[in-house]
Amino acid sequence: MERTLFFLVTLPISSGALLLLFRAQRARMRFAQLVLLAGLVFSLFVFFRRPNELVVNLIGSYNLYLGINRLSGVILLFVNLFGFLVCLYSRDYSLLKNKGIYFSLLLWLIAFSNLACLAADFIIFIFAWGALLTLLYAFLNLNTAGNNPDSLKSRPSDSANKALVVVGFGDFSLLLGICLYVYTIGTTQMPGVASVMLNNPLNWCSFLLMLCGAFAKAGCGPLHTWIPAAAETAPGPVMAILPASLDKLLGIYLLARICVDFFVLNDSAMAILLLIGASTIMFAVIMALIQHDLRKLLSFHAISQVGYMVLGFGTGVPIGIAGGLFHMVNHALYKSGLFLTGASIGEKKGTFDLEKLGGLATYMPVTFFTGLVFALSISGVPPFNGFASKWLLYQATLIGMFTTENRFLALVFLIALVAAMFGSALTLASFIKFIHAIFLGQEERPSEKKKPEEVSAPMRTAVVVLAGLCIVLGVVPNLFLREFIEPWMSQRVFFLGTWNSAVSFVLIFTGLLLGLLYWASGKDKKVRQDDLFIGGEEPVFGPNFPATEFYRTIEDLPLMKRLYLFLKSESLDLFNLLGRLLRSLAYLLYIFVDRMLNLLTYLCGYLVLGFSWAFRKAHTGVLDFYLVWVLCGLLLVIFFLFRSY
Amino acid sequence: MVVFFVVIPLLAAFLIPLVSKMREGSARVLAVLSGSLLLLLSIAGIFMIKNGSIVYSLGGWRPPFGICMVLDGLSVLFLLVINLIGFIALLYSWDYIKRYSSQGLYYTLFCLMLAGLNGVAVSGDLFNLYVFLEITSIASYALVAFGTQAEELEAAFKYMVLGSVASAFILLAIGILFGSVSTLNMADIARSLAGSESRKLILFCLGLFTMGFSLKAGLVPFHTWLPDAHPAAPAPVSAMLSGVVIKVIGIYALIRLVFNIFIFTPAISQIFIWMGIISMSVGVLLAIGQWDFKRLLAYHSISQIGYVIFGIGLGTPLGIIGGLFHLFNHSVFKSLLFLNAGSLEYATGTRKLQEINGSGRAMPFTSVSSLVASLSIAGVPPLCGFWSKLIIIIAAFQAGNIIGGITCILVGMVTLASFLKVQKYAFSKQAGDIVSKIKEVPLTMAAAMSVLALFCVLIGLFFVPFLDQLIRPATNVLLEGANYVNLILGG
Repeated sequence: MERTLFFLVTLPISSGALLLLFRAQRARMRFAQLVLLAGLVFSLFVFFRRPNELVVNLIGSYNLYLGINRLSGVILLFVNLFGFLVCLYSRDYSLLKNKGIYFSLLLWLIAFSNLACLAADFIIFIFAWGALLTLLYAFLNLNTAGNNPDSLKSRPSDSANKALVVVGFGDFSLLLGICLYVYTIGTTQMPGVASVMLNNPLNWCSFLLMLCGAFAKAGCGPLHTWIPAAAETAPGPVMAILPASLDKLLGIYLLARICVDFFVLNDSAMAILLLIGASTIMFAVIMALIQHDLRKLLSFHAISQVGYMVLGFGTGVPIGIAGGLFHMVNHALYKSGLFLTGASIGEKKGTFDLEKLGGLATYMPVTFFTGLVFALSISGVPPFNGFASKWLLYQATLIGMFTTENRFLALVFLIALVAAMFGSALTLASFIKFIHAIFLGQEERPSEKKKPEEVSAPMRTAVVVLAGLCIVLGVVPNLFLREFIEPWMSQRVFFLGTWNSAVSFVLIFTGLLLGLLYWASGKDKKVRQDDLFIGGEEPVFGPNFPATEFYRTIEDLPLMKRLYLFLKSESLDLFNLLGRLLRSLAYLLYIFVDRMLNLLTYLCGYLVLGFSWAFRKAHTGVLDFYLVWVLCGLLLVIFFLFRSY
Repeated sequence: MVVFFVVIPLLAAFLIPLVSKMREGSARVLAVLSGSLLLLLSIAGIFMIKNGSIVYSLGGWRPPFGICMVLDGLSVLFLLVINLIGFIALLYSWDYIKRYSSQGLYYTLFCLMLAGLNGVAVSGDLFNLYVFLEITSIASYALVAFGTQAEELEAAFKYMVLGSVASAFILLAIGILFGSVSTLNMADIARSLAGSESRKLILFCLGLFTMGFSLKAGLVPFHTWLPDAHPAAPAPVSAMLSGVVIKVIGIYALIRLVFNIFIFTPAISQIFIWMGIISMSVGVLLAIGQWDFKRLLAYHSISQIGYVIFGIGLGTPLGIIGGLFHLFNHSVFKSLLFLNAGSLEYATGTRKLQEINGSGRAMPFTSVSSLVASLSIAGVPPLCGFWSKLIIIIAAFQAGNIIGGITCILVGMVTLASFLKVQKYAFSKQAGDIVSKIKEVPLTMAAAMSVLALFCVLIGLFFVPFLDQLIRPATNVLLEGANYVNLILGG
């Protein structure tokens, strides 16, 4: 068991390399799928063996530790699950160019994610983290097919560079933070029980730097900017595996280790986490509201949801931490599902513009229903999984607010609660637009050429599995909590309010069934068409009710207009800030160093030429004159010889 | 054996006028033949002295009484320089000199010059040294004037007047010395002077020698003849003058006297160092403003000779190694540069850099070899000039001569700038009208340049064995100055 853990890393790495030897595309896909299936089975096996704090010394005396605990076992399981599903989906995804390298990258991605989960010491961890950054860069550099005109607005390399800089900044901070932390605790082995208090500047620095690493990975504000940029150019499956699932799993895993295993949080740290979480929820969802590109819309939601997870850890109570982790799993499920849905639509329609889409529910029923499940889940509608985890988080903020003695912290808890609930509502608003614009409503200019069909079976399977998991986790959240999350936590999760999701699920399902029966009975099948009537006002939009139109009015509200202008300007974008800083630095260097040196060089040059001129003037070519020089020279030589005499 | 270094070229010089009367072309065959024999002989010399230096007494008269010739490490180094460059220059002359009338006279003078140079290098006798020096000088005055145009004649006249002044002072010093110690054999003089070199008369002699040989070497402020004489001569002669003559009758004679006859005192060291610093700075500053290619090269000769005398003047083993190494390197790349200049003049009819404009495409051998030589003289690694300059600079800093070390570096930079100018105008610049009419020089000239360029690269790459085989024995002769007496007089 101990050393076999390492197979989870070595097997995908070697198979990824081996894959490149295969000639046939299909063989590569099959092989990759097989390896990922093996990884999934093995991680299931590892999970159900319930290893408790196992640590293996990897190479003799070098003190490199691999290990697994209750939390990393769960993460490992989900990493391999997503790897397998996305691989399944990618098989028939045609917008992806150069699939050979893609499958190798996918295998390596899973390998290094496994390694990051299995790392029981900081050296292996930071190594895996660096490899993941490299793979992220490689993935984002993949070209999507040229038949997708939307993606040509910005080049893949631009967004890849942006991700490299922002996540690279985070990784660098993480490395610094880890160095400081290792300096404090005196060993590179990861601790299992938090012992470091945030009571001196050194530990604070270490804590904040490590947070930066986790935030950049998970895409939490203010280190989120690479995700919307990547969404515009990266292929759908890549978005589904990286920012939507794996990066969240690993980023939040790191956050969990930081907040629970590495540091003992105090009130200020909690307030920082809560505020970052709350503000991330709010501004990202506000940005999401006005997006017309479905990939960008999804990417802003991917940021917004991270806010919930961070907020959960910020509460510092067991139910909040459990809620954060639960939300992480849920989010990975529905967000990767949503990105895959988006990819399916792009695959069939060739565009991601919400204004150009519409009415796809008829042609793509499976995609519609799974998309609806994901949308309701992310919006926190009961009885789906998003509600279950958000419910835990609301309780956690309430518990935190009532138990803390710090007035200020109580206020922060209140802000967080409001932000979380309000954010959830805005998410719902945004996803109504998403569902309406894509699946309902009408196409702006219906293409007569051919009707879109449902995507292929493997692609459907992948999204159906994800949607099924969303429902299952929504119906039996307590089971998941007991089996997957509580074992890692030192305390039992204490519930403030109870929510019997199974019963409500049955009730809701019965209601839906009854409605369906009523509809099937055929009473209301006749449809009457009439003119538009909006309180006597002229309708500003056509009869096809474009979903994006309403959201434009939000953008034009007096206060919101300012806010959007500020947010859209990306003036807080780390990438832009760094770029501006470097540019000004370069300019200063140019003026004060380069130009000065240039001036100096010219001065020297003129000096040399001046001397040259003077010496040439002295050489008159007159023989008598030269003879005088010779005699003077002789006198000087003799003078110097005799001086020492 | 040793005497052949003088006999072969003298014999050739004697035979050439006779045979060239019968057949015009036979002169160059004879000259090249004697040149190649001399080259082989000087290479053999390297191996002959492996087991110790060789002293040859003319007519069997033992040294203090008869005339002797000495072959030690220093002589061998200089003989190699003389005969290598001499052979290459003769090879180059094969086609080049066809443009001039009376080839027979040219080769006669050239062989006479070789005889004089070899004689200076092997002579163990002060008066013989003076005689060979005069043979060399007079042959070179005539060769500078060989073109018989106004410019050449003026330059030769200037050279002759100043050279005669130097010769006269050298003769005066020899006379005073003879009057004082009653012998002309160098080892014997050294033995007699031992312990009395601080006498005023001897110091005066040393001053006269220093001035005289410095003038022959072209050191500032005795350099004024050089920028006129070197460009005026035909290209192979310029190569000999700049590459060999100023070194043998200037530097060699000076250091032979100072190290082996007199004692190398701190005062003379200071004089060498300062002459070196001044020569290298003034030379390079004068060079950078020149537009005449050969005149530019002539000023660079002054500057590079400054490096040599500076390195030797430091007096440390490393300094002398650097100085002698640079001397050898300079003779290779400066001769090459003069041959390049000759080729350009041969092809384009002008020496003005602005007028040569971008002939690189049309003349591949010339442009590539001149690039190698330019980079060598500018001290760009890994070519030969880099290593010798590096050794001199390290030696300067080791000896605590910060000013000299920094001057060496700065002068190297200006040298680079100056040769970039040469490369830009002569070869790289956008081709002017002149280019369409020119073509590469004949084979022998191209071969001569290629061989020298190859030397620049090879010495740069294998400088360690080169230093061990050639430079170190020569350095030891200078460092163990007193051994010279024991060697010749058998004491």
